[in-house]
Amino acid sequence: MADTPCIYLDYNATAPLWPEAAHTLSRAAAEAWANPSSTHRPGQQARAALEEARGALARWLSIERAQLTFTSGGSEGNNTLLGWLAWEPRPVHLVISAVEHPSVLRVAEWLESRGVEVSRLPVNPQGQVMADRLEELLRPHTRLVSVMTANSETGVIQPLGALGALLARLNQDRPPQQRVWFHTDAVQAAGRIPLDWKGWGVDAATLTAHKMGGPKGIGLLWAAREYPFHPLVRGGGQERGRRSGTEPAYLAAAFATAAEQTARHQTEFTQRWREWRDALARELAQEPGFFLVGELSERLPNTLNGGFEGVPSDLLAIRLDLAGVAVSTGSACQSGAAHASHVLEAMGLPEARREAAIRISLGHGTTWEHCQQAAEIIRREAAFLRG
Amino acid sequence: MNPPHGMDFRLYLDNAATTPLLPEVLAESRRWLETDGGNPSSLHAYGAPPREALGEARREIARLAGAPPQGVVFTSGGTESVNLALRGVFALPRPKANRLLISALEHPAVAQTAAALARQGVQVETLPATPEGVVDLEALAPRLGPDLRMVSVMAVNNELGTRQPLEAIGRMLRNAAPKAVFHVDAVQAFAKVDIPWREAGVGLLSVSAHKVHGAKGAGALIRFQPIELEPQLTGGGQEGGLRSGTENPFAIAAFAAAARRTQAVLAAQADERAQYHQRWLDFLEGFPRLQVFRSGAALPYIVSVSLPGVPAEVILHHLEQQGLIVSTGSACSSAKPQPSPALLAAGFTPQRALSTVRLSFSLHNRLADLDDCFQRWKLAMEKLVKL
Repeated sequence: MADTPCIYLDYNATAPLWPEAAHTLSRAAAEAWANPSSTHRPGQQARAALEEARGALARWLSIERAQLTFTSGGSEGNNTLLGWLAWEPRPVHLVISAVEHPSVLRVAEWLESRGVEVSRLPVNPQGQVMADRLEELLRPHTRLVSVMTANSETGVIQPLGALGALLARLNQDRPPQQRVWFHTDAVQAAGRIPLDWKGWGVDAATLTAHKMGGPKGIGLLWAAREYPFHPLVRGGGQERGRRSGTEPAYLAAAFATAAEQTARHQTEFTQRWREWRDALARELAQEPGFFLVGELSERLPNTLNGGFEGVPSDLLAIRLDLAGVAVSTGSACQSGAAHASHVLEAMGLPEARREAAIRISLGHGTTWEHCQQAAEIIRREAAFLRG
Repeated sequence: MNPPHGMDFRLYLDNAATTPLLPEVLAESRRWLETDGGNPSSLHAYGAPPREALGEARREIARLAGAPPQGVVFTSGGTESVNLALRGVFALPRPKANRLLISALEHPAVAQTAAALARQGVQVETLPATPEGVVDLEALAPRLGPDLRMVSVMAVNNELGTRQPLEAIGRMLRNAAPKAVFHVDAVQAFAKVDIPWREAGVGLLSVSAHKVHGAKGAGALIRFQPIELEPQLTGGGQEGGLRSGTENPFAIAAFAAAARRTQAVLAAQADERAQYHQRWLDFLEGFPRLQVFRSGAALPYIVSVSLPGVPAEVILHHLEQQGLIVSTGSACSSAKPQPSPALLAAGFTPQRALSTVRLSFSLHNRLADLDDCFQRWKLAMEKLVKL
């Protein structure tokens, strides 16, 4: 076993830090170590680093920097951008998709327990949110629609443009106080596809750094000027009162570098990942019982969800792990527990496939050799498990 | 302990705002950013090392606090911890116990969160302070009763450096309001002051990494008793379901390493710390125009000094020109020249509060550096008294 390979194909759980981002982080930890709220020179250096990062991220996202708030990560962003509904006068109605990340699903459940009405937009068997069903779900007191940009498990890209256009049309006939706001959890899409929030008609969005090769512990939320959220963390009034707590300037700086790297390589990576992923799929398809999930949908170029009928995904993932290939059986965020995937269930996948599906996700450190080797190992282990 | 930071930490006297990351802690913890940057929730081989790092850090923080490891909930920092403590308790309503007592000396993290809870119907009362800069125990006694849900008093005030009578408060609670939760904001005390939290009856303790030479972006809420809390960040269910979001193993491991080291170094420096502090007080009292805050409850980490008639910003600027870095109060609520509520509570006039600067010390500030500091102070004073 001396030459067990180390092939990491779980970028949708977390991506390794870009070396350039690691470099920025070290430099900023030394130069921008002070408290950005301090008025003395070291404090102002930290402030400058923080604002430089905010500016770079805002340019990358084509949004106004003043509308960008640093958070501790994606879960906090989603909790903040949905949680405000709890304080709105009833009746209040929220629409989410059935395939959201747990940080949206759990907030929605919590809101339900507080008397907020919640509807779940279904997905088709290809994992796409059924945009044409939105209109019938809307109520006069619908305040928010939240649909992720791309699904973390299947990589399926959601039709945000269609949803946004529909909402824009409907909002024209609504008085401003009855406006339906549109939020997207873009955590998984960031760094994999270009984000065009304004073009899609989105009003607020959530991002995290660590899925795109930035550090853990930092994310951002974007909220258009009038988006009516309440701060979730209160105190010293940092981030224009939207998020209290001393900002980690060094993490923000490294986040910005990861975004720069991502932007620089976007075209090249998109092409490369799609090519390699599809080659991997073709290779795996040589094994009997192979299936792909959502393959007819537009998907993130780095994500492959599929399996071999009759080969349980948990056993396959364990054997792959021992053989040096890291993949996942659903969202790693679910705190270790091997849950049945709510995403695959919402797509109406038969049980035989739900129990067999694994997620393979590529990233900036993936090589063609990794993909070739992984294909060989996955085929071998699947064949072994099928007996 | 000079550059790489370009900052001489012997002259940095704003350690209550933030402390520089210890280089050895950075060196030790880097692996969680670089080679071992997996998601701690991942089931494959890349998840195990960061998961173990979290467990090790949890045990270390628990050991330093004298709490059970399962009582440690990692957060993004002190402010988030405080928010979780206060909101987490009051989100589970008890109609017959809806009262929150805080001290007038609290940090905005507590004061602003309490204000938000008050708008949501919680009955919030503020305990006055004495001119010694400690919470007035005589005002506490008549406010105890079965309708009291929580008392929140900081361990050490961040502007005056005064240690609060936690043991006495704990005793009074035990006798007259045994069901009330005792929350302590220990951001300025943890790993610096030896306080027997558990014995004092503390139920919830909020702590932060960057005040003890750790990295920004980590903190913890420590539970000494099985106090029920509603999570404020929901999602993947990390941290025992109390705080969702991918943990930041780098900042958390650095927190534990920094807290351990800071605690050990400060304990070894105990005599020196007392002398260092005393010499500052004696030196400053040699200037007839300076008003030095004196209190029997003062700990040797903070000196509060006023130059009546001169705005604190001007004092700060003149000291900075001589290379001494101090602050004008709590960094978190900076950029607004309002007199500090905590200073007013300790009996400062608004004019004096606006002319007060804070010197705060860390393990980098040594007796051998005092003459240099004093020399610089004198030069600044010569210019200041001419104003």
